[in-house]
Amino acid sequence: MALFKCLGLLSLVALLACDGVIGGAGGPGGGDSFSGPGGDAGAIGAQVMHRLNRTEYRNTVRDLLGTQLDPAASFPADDVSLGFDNIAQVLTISPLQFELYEQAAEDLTVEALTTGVRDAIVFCDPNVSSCRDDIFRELASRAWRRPTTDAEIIRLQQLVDVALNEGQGMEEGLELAIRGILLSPHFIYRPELEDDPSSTEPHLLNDYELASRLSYFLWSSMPDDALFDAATSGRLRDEAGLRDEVDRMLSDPKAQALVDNFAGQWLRIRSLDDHVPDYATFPDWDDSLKSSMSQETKMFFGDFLRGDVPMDELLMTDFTYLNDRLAAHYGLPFDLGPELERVSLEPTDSRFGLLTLGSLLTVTSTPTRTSPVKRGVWILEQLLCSEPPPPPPGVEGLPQDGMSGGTLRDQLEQHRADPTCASCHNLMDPLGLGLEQYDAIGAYRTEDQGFPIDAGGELVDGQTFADGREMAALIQGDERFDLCVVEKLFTYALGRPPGSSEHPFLETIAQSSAQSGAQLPEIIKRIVTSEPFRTRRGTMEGSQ
Amino acid sequence: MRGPKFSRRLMLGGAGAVITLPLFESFIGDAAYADDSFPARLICYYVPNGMHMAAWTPSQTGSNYTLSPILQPLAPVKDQILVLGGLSNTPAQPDGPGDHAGGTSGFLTAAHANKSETEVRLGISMDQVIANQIGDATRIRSMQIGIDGGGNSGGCDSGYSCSYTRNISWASETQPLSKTTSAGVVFNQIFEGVDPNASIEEQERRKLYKTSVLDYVHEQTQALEQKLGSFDRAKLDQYTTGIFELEQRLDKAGLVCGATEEPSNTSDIVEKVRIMNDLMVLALQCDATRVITFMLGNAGSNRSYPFLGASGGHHNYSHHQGDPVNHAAIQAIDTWEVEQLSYLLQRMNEVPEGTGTLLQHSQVFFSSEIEDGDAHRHRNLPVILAGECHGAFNTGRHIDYEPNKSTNGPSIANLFLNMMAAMGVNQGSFANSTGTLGQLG
Repeated sequence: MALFKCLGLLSLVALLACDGVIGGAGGPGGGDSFSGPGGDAGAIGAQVMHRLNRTEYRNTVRDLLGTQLDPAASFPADDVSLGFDNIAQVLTISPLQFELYEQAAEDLTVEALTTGVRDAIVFCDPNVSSCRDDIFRELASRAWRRPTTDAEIIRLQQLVDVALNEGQGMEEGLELAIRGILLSPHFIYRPELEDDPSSTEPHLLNDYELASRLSYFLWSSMPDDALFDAATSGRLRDEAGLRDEVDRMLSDPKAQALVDNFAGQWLRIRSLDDHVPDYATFPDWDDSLKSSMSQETKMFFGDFLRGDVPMDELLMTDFTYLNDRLAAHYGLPFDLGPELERVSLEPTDSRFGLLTLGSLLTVTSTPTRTSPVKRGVWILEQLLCSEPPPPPPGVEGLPQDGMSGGTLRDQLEQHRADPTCASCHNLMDPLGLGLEQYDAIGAYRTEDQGFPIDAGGELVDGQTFADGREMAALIQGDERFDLCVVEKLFTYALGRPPGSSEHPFLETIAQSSAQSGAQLPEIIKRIVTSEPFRTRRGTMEGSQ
Repeated sequence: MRGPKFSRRLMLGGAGAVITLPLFESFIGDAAYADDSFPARLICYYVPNGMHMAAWTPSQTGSNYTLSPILQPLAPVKDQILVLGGLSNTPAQPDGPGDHAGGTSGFLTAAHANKSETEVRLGISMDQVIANQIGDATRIRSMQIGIDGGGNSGGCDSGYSCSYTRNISWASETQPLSKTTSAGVVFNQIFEGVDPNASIEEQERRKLYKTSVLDYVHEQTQALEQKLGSFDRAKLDQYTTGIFELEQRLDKAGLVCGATEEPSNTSDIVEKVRIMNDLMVLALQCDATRVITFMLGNAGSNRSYPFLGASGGHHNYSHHQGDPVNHAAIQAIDTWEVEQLSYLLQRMNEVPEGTGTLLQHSQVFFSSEIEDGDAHRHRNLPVILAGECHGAFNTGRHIDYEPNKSTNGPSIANLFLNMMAAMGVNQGSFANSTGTLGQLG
């Protein structure tokens, strides 16, 4: 399966690419009922406390309160690391962010107490003290995603008293308590508590912490009642129970979050929003084409998420989703309406899977032309998890207008004649040039500026391909691809990069998935039931 | 605390105006307030991707210099700006590639970013050193404003976290201060708590409620800390800081001025920059804050500017490779950026304060994360310092601190020492400073 080789010549790349094999397969972890992939339980990566990012906050208040408001829309953007906006270590809170949380808590509370959702929250007579206990216990435990203590409920009652002591009514009292619940750090963060805060020994998460990890991974939102019940009843403690929950949650419409947020970032669907192709060069480009492309990629990924297609066929599919506009743009003879439909592709068609999706081809281009380098880098980083060494200063970039000397291939070949450029560009350029038959907005073409396009190439290990389709098959067959899919999912699932000592877990999952032609839901289950997902290791300052 | 107190609520803007600067009748020509009763104020203005230096650098130095093509839009305020050449920011040099991340994170910190996607370590920025000393005088200690949130996905710059490419204000080594890109949020920050319909009693009660909720949240935060490891405890400190700052604000005096209309949130870049410029003037004028940082784009922005005839991406053009087509495109973008600065300065100059203007009582630092977009150099940075800031700077000149462009000139941190001093903040040193810059006074 290892079609790409790690060449000693490219030491940095080789290091990254071969990183997965260090340490060898670990033994079975923990003494529990899980038969999942093994690894050294003592080597669980450190987990930093996660704060809800904008998307998670938005979804959580939606599911908690049924709100029509979207306070998160005005929150500052979350910083991105490793290609995702849910990486715990860089999710900080500035005073401005706190101020916006405070305002949001007030606005959401006022809305919740004055609209149709009120009855769901205030389900008994709040003038009765024991009813208020029930109201607070119910709301706070959902908001904080864990059972509350009596002391916590008493403290919320004291907030009610603040209003009552001012001579104000019960409504204002309720409002204060609910504002408190929504501004609590237990709501804004997802704390995983330490029995012994001075220890960095790994320990299993409690049931509710595990439920939260699960729901923020699959739904980008809080656990629902059923998941909460599963946690309470201890069903998440065995592998079968956890797997059942994943099945249930993936069949819920909220699993669309994995499409929007995981695939949205991994496959760069979100980037389409900010991408503006040059109108003069591409007069065909408009919002309708853009949204069709975005929709195509989401529906395409949706098939994998539903388990209709094995994950290791991502690059070589015999289907995609098109509407009339997209079919015309791609030059495919389907008779379609404005809604996207699943269509079957022939081996002779110019589309054959992930790499020929218009959205991906577009966002890896510049506004005026294709960028084989960007496309090649994307494939290396996102599909093979092998980051190429970046260019030395002052050498990147091609003139974008008035190019002379033929096709981009010709230009890039001149570029690679320079040995300092060649060492890296031999890695990236062939991958990007294999897709040169797709222009900067993903349309099929056979010529570039009047010159015929040659989409053939040779990989660094000497394997050759005649066109993009053959190249895609080679990439799909690379074992780094299987591992990379697992690594991306793991990173997103835990909001942190895998520690080097966790690679045996990833390798085991990747190998078993590749052997069995596993579908995405199965890979997700293997990650969720793995030791790192169910375990926490705290971290001390300076011990990262 | 310096500065006059204003009890009068002033209304601004007419119906239909997005934001109109209030003309403060109470200020205008009122000799009762000496100029030095107005506080010193600071804006740091960041633009991405460097400058086309051939069209940026004036060919003469001193006071009798001609504005270069890119600097032409500053003609109306030429006597109120300093063009500074030859300053360097060597700590901003990244480890290997990543100049946009290194230059942007170093923009106001002159610190060296730890190259990592997750372990973010840098240094405090100079605006925050200032805010730490003078921030308590105003309701908002400092404001962070920008144009691009950076919601798109994908890596940011060569193995550096996006924290380094999207933030120029850093409260500490590990805490970037995220900026808002929403005009509505900026507006509400300036005018929050202003409710002309609320009675004093109601206002007091609202304050009590807020305080009670904040006290409650503070208690919860403290209790939670006990159950966390030290790293997470440190992270939770950010929450505690947020609580404290908001609590302090509740005790601060009311606003100097009031507003009638909230600006619309627009995605049109030209309109949005204008609104943000107006809001920054308003925030300073109303003394809601005295320290603002502004990012006209994120590090290495690849925004296209079709209205300037530059529909390829800014970052792509900036790697010009000596191509005249690219030179023309970046010059057009650079000139447009300077126009936005000029608009801001002119608005500030229209605000009378005592016998002077807001601009004369302020300093505006304008620069980019690198010098030339192709070479990615961190020396000879393109810098404008506008405003006399109560006479701290003798404006109207072009000063070149290092005529040899292949040599690192004095550190930008030296300039920061002068700027801090102009704000009344006297630091012996900052980052890699070696002493204040000469020739500025």
